[in-house]
Amino acid sequence: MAGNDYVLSLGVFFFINLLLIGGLNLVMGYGGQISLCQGGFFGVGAYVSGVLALKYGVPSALGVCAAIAGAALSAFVIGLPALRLRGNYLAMATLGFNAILSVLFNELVSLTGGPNGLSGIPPIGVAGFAFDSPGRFFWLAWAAGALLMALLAMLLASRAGRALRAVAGSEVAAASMGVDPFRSKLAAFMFSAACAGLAGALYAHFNQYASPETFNFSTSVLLVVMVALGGWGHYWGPVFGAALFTAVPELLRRFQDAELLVFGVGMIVVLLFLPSGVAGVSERIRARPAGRRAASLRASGRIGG
Amino acid sequence: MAALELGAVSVAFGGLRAVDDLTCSVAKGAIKGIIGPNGAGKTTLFNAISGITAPDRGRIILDGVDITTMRPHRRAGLGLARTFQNLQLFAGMSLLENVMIGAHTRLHAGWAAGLFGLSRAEEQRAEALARDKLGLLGLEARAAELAGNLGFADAKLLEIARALASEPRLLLLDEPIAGVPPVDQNRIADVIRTVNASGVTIVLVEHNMRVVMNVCHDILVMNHGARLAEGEPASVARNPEVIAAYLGAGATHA
Repeated sequence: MAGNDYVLSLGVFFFINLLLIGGLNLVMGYGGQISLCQGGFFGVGAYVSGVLALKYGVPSALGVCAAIAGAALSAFVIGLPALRLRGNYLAMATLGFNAILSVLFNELVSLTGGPNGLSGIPPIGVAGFAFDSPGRFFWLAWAAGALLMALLAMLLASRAGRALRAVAGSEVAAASMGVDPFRSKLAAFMFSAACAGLAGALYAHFNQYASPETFNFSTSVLLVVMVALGGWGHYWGPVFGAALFTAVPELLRRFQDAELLVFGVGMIVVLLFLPSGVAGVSERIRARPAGRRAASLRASGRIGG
Repeated sequence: MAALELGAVSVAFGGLRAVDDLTCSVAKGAIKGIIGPNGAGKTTLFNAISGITAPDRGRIILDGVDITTMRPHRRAGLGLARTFQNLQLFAGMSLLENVMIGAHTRLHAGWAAGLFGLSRAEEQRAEALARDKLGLLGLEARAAELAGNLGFADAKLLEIARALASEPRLLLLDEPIAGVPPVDQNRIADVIRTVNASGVTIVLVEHNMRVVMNVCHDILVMNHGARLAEGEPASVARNPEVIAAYLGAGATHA
């Protein structure tokens, strides 16, 4: 692969990671619920679009839509019982669900190819134009990432986004103000799964290959760590999280699995010293010259809050 | 028809009957005071009315609608609003956003409209409404600050502004005055009267006897979860049982 293609494909993976982490940040950072199945929904998206394209010859645009819908539907099924209860039942339910999905990805050999993976997935093609090189695919991934950030900005400044943050702040108070906590959390969870579904579809068509270990429980845990490292509940947090998740494993490629050590240490540092992650630090640096008042105003801004 | 009717409502926590077979009604347009010693069941009663705690027995009727088993947000949709004695503000959100959440039932935009930015006009109306309510409580200048940064007294004012933003038919105020400096006490009493004059029925749980006696049209005195006395402020204040159980000798000066 030419040097330029290498950088472009890293860019593609950055935007795929942004979809995963940005969606998860909505549930965790703004909704106050922990989801341990983002990797599983990533897999649902990859296999739905991959299998549809490879085994049934479905046009890739349609397959991508099916991947998004499939992941959102999975979240609906798992969220329906888990989110009715107050407290963090979603963490436990999603933990189990990711394990179930991993078993399915491995065992449904006739569909998914089992542990050997699904290879030969065609590139995305729309109206005769194939996104078949890193240069072409980069713009598609860029557009998906930009679209997510735009949608999130508008959502967080709206009635639905405000209601979600209120539920995380005080479920009792939010319900007393007329917010349905169950629906609010369920919608956020489904949206976040839909983001992972899109990410999975892009991944499968770009990589032209998908195998179960990419979508297992440890991916879900790492994505939660990336939300925290980037900045839990900060609008720009997932951008930092996705950058770390993309760059650090590449930089440490020579040292097998050393990134896990780096991420683990990073998580401890964030938990102990930087509860608002990289995004919180960068906000503080920008705010410094203008003094504390500006910092508090910025913190109260609808998006930055 | 009464604004609120409680029919033999009981709420028990284990062996403790926090509210014990209480029957009571609040006339439309009234300001009803509920007083009683700590632990008399006043806040538990509010939690039962707003749907946070399910009653073990009895009926709760809001404007003729049986809401006994209705979930809290549905009750809010019917025009019920409340404040919290133990302050349940959204600490990470600005004062303005807190009050805009109060207006949630007045707005209609859902997730799709939110994601695609299709609710600008409604948002502007909500913001204007919220600023109006903040102004009523003297908090307008601090609209952009985080609610978590407020002192105790201002937080109490914000609780009231947030509850008013839903433009409720029935407003439950849980100790809005306790712990607030005198200048704000008068402001809150004025707000209660103004809001009531605009047609809102109010139920007020409060320990400050001066305000309760001045503001309320009638008063329910609770003790051990049950009714000890009920009636006009003057008659309640003269009731020997009430004086013995709660008001004590000092309160006769109020």
